[in-house]
Amino acid sequence: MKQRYNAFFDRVTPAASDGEFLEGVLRKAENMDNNKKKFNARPVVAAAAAVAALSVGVTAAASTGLIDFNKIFGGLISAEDETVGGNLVSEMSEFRYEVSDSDYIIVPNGVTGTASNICVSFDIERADGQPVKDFMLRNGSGKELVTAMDYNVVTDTIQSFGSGLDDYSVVVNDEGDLTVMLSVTYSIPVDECTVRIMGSDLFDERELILFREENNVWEYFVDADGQPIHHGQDVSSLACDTALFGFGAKERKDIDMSEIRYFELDWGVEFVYTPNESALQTLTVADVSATYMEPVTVWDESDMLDASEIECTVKNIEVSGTGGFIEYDRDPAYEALYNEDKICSEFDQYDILLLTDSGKEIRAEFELGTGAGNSQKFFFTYFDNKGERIAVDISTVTAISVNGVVYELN
Amino acid sequence: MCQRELERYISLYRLTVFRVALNYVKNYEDAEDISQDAFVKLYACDDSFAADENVKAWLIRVTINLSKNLLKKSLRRGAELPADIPCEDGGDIALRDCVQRLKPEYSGVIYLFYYEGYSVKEIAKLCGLTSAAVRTRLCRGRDRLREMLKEDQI
Repeated sequence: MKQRYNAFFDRVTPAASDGEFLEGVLRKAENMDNNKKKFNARPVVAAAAAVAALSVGVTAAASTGLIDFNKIFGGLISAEDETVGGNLVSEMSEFRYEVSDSDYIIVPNGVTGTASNICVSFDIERADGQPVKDFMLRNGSGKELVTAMDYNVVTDTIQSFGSGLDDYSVVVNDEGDLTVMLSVTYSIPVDECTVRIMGSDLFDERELILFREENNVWEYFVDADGQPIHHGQDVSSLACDTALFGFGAKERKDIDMSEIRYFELDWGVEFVYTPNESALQTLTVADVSATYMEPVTVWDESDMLDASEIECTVKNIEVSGTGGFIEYDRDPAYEALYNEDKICSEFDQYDILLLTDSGKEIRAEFELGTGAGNSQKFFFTYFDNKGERIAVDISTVTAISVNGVVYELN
Repeated sequence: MCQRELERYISLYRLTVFRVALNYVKNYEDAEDISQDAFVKLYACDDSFAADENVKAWLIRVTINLSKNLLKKSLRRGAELPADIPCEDGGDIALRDCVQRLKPEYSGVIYLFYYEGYSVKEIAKLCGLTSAAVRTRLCRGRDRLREMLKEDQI
């Protein structure tokens, strides 16, 4: 296969010549330079009104670690011509972002700002009209899991306002059109749940600006000179279920708004759920020293795949409400037997079940392996019968079954 | 970096950069665009490189990041990039179709391993992954490729 694969890519070549390609690179470099000069020479500010164009999408971000569940929304808002030009910006009433009929709607309820700052406010609603907060937390006393987004979520921790890093850039092209590209990470509490709002890394030549919340007032800190710009937005007056983010110009100077003919804001929202204390509790297997034959796949020089086994000794098993891991050592002869580059562990194909005091079995699946040399660690998370990722009440878990071998958990 | 150096690196690594991008975005135009952006960054880069191989690794890392950014952006906008890998007359169309269908996380590491000859550890560094994750992706990706090729023959 390798031979066939390489033969195929030998023939995959770009159409343009190196000379044409070089011209393109130089042209792009020059444009970027011009935009920078223009930006530096003319203090700019964004303004927006009615929405002229919208394109949206959604993706569920891969969960990382054991406790975070993410979901990212994104969209593009733009306004043109006569809708741009005021110092303060009107409402974006026609904009409505809907994920699905059973999901969430992000509604920007307006853009406000001065000549040197702009702030976009969003409402978050359930498409079915139910309160968002009901879908973002777990009832701590009843220990009843509530579905939130695509995942079950465990959280009853009240978070304070967090701080975030905001990246943004403003680009003015030769026609005088202005584009703002935004990246924000910010945390606000929605009732008992923390919602972090962030944008994506949308433009590489971005300027950096730091957000900080203080006494319920957002402050914008300009990175270059460190002078704070007070936006004056009182976030304490925000209703529950309302998210807010904003961005500021690099320099606090006014601008002739008639120069602005085009506005574009590319934005994203990511929800991050924080597990409660009980979800952070862990159970372990005492004195585990089981030996397994670990299935592996090995490929040889002729690129054939073959199944094999390596003896491994489990050292530690740990379980929490959102996932766990199995840590083990492999046969020391492992590296001598196989070239590490040519071997792939199949330990993650093992059957792992959590056993609860009610006799219920919860399926676990490996999703990440780490380690070096002979020491390995495999992390797993839990799923329901429909394949949805879930969190479990750790207080009900009594044992873990690994390929039919049951270990008591303490 | 001066223009002469840029020209030399384009002649050395443009194909690699283009193919790495293609394995992620699966689309000729975007891969070409990303290639240009990677070299624009190199042109603007003030770093000094000890060896050409370091420049190559740097370009690959930048290309992977640019490709991932584009994929993320297209996902957020709900529009997948159309698969459009070029295949010359007489090229292996069946394999081309399989590469197009292979997930970027698999096709990226397979390309670096098979074609560029990087080791698992080197790929782990380039992609910001653990060696175990690279091995798993390689294994699964190769399995998937073989399965798809078999399916196509049926």
